Amino acid sequence: MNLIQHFEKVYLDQASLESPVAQRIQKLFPADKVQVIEKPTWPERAGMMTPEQFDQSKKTLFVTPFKGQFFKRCPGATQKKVLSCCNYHVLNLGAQCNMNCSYCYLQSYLNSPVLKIYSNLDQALLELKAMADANPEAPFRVGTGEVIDSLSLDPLTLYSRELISFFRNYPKWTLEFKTKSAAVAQFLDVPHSGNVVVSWSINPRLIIQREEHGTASFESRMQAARACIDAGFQIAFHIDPMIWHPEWKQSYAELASEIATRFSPQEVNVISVGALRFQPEQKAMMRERFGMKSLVTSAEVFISEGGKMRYDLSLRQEMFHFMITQLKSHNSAWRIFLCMETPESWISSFESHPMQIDGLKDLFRPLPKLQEVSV
Amino acid sequence: MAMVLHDLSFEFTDISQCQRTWNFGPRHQLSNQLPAWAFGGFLISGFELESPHPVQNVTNASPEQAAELFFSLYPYLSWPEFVRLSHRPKLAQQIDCDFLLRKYGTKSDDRYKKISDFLLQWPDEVQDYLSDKDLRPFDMAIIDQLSLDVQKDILSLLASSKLSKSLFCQLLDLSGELILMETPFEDVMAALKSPNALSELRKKRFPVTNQKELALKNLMSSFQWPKGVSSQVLRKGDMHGLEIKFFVKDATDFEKTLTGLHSVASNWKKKNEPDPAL
Repeated sequence: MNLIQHFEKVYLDQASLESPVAQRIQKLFPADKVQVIEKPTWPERAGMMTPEQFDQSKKTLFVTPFKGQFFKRCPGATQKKVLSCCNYHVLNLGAQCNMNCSYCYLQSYLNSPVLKIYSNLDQALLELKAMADANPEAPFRVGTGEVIDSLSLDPLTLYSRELISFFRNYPKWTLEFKTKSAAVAQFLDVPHSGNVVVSWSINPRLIIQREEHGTASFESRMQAARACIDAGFQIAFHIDPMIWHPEWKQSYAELASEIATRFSPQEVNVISVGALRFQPEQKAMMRERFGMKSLVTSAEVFISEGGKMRYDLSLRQEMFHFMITQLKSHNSAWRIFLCMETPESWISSFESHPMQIDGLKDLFRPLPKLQEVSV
Repeated sequence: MAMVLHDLSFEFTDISQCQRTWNFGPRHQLSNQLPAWAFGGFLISGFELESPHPVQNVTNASPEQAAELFFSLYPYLSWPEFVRLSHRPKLAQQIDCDFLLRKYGTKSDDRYKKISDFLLQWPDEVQDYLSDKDLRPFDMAIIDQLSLDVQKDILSLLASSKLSKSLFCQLLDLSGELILMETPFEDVMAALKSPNALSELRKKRFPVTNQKELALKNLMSSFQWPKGVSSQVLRKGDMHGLEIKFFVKDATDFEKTLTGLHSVASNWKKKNEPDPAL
């Protein structure tokens, strides 16, 4: 994706002008697209956006300092009573995505008419440093891809370079970039201490073509993953969300085969598997933005414990079991876990809880509560 | 219930009582349903429903104060009632309706406004049904993807069927999606008119889950259940399974029933095993 062409308008918050990212963006974008503003000129939105407003928000970039807390627990970890989750932490360096997946949860999560990049990375790193210095021995995993793709805008921000360098000082902590892009070239030369995982959300080719609009192709993602391995980075795959469609078994069997023939279990840190899930209010947005021919509307979804819409539990279990069996049929050494799933799904898929599975225990073992520190 | 009118600067020559539609008709017997009063199309007073506090005269109140007062008078207002209120030009001028809507805990976004505009074009029976069941725009989000004629036909049929809120929402969503999938309108309406409308529509919209559920139902009915046991195949959220109830009179009876149930479980397990001949 050509990011300079993609964004129709770029707003730079006056307060961000001194930041490296604002200066870089001013250099990269034609002057007529860039406008410096003292405060947002758009009204505060209430409620969900319309499909048109949501589409437009992806094409309007706003570079601004973030005033809240950058570092948080993954939402899955806050639902421990319902879900078995893996102690993931998130560092949000922006909000909204330039790509356009039909199932994306941001459709029911965001109500801002712009895509935000936070300009105060230095502040985020200070916050992270305070946390890391207070908990240097705890094996925290920190991801930057919760409400924005970790890497798709990285050619603009180059944040990956700073983060990788920062994590060299904290070898017990792990940094994870999660992406559907192939944008890795900008950081491959950065020295690291082996604790950086570059991960791809991946689906069969059919799903990528029909549902993951504006993302990198399957082939490009695989090539980018190989380039990361060659540069000594760890990689991971998230087969998530699995999407039911009439030929799903064939599609996901092919996906397992593609991964297994291109990579060995030793090269892949972990493979997570999850199924389509979304907040009830997202259904209307998906229907309006992508129509009834989208595969995300193919199978019936039901309200589940925790309030999200999900496929029938037995169908999810069948899909997970199928995917795990397919991967293990190529090689039993793959480290696989379920993302945001219930203990029932774990037991059905693995006949075990994650804490009883070698290789996953470390991910799921309860961590000490983060010592709160003020920056 | 009491009423106090403050310093009105006009005479009571044209006073009228408000109806649920917010249409101001001639004064009738006092009602405690929506006892608002108006003069010349302006809301001037009403009755406190919960306590005998007097009601204020709002002719001189700011639109925000009027909204506050209105909310204290009517802490529970249905969506159609609110929409009709906010579309009465003179009342909307007197009351800050956006502020009032927020007091009712609803955010006015573009989708809300769009569906609310449609609502005013639906028959009164439909609006009354939506009021009675406390339905909100979010419950019927699919409606704005359908043409007004289709909306009216489906909603009139559903409203006249006296359905529960949950069933109404499911039927509306399924029928709307089928229409968007280009299923002939007549087929959708025929399914909606069927006594088993939900099952008929799900059969068309989601044949795979429907077949699985039907298969389980058929399998369960093929088993020999112990005496006194009733079983029902049902869905609980994202889980589909079997609910079993039984009554026993003593320990021997209990044991006998459990043995019978164990035999059903064994048969069920056998049916799930792959056929070695295949």
